[in-house]
Amino acid sequence: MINTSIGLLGVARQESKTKAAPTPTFRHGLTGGGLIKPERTVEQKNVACGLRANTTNGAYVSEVNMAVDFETLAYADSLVLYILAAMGNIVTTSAEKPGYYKHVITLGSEIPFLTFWGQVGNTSAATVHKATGCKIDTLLLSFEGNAPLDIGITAAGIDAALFGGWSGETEPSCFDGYFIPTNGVFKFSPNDQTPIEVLVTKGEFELSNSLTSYRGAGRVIASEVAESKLKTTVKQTIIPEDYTEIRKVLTGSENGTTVTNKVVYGSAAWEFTHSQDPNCTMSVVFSNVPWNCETPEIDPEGSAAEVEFSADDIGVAAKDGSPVTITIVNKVQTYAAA
Amino acid sequence: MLRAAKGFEATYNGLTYRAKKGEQVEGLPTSLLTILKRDGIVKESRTSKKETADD
Repeated sequence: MINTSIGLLGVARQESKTKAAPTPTFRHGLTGGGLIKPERTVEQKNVACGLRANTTNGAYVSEVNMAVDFETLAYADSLVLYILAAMGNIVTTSAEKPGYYKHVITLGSEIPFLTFWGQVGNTSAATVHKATGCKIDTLLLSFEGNAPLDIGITAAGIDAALFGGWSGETEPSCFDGYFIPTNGVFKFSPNDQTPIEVLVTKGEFELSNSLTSYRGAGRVIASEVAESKLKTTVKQTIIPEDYTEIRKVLTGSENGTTVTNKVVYGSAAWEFTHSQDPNCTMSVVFSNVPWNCETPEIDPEGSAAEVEFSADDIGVAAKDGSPVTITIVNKVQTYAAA
Repeated sequence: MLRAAKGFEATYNGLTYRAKKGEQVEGLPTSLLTILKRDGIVKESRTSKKETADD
């Protein structure tokens, strides 16, 4: 049997599109996903040949996509690489505490290539697949209550080596803790760039690069995986004290009475803590967010209204702007290619 | 003259830039410099590297 409780993922940044990383820089645990999945599309060329069925040799492989998808926890080391690979730019400096580094990740014009190693099942059965030349397609971060942050990632690559083993002996991050909402700080403003603390029950954001695979004639695997504009979507559910936030979004001001025909730009800031290392921190800051919101619904049983505020595509307001700025402090000195 | 107030490594639009604390900073994209100045990582300096180190 293939024991699906045995799983591990490795990742490293590549120097260039065609130069795969030799060994994983990080290895970490998983909460779900298919890891590295060669997706073959088999099509049939219809041929009439004297019988009421196709000929067997009409089948052909039209394309193979090297897909990567997994769910994991917000491990302080690997998460920076994933967000960098989704967004593009990073500035790393020493943090206040010796031995720790502060990484500020923002929107960039290019995103780096990654090599992934994925294992499902016992390694003695050669269960490690390696996908190279990968780019991040989507990165989803979500939280609710005090549960650990959930991270979902999809990526696509241009080559793969299947049924191999691990290279290198990188220690997995699974035992070092992860980011959690507990004792975090959650701020929100519906209509200005100075968010204030509110009661947030859950939230999520997704970074999407809308990858497109291109392949030449005679090649089933993509030769090029191209990103589009970064689309940043965000949702957060709050328990409002009163109608103030809803009113600001709907009318544009706290005492407005008519629905505004203009977009109201607000902000949000989330700070997460680490389950094991108090020196590891994570903050996510959204600026110029074109919030939209629901309105409360009647519940005959009675309860405090929970209202979801969301935005489908956060833009930038300046030439060096970023729809979201993510700052993580951890013990990793560099995210340059190995 | 611009110097790194603290050591940094930046990947910016596909290229990687590094400077140690006190090193002169040049050749960086303007938009990256704006970010580094805003965050106090790079600062204007009229003193030489030796004088900066002595300070």
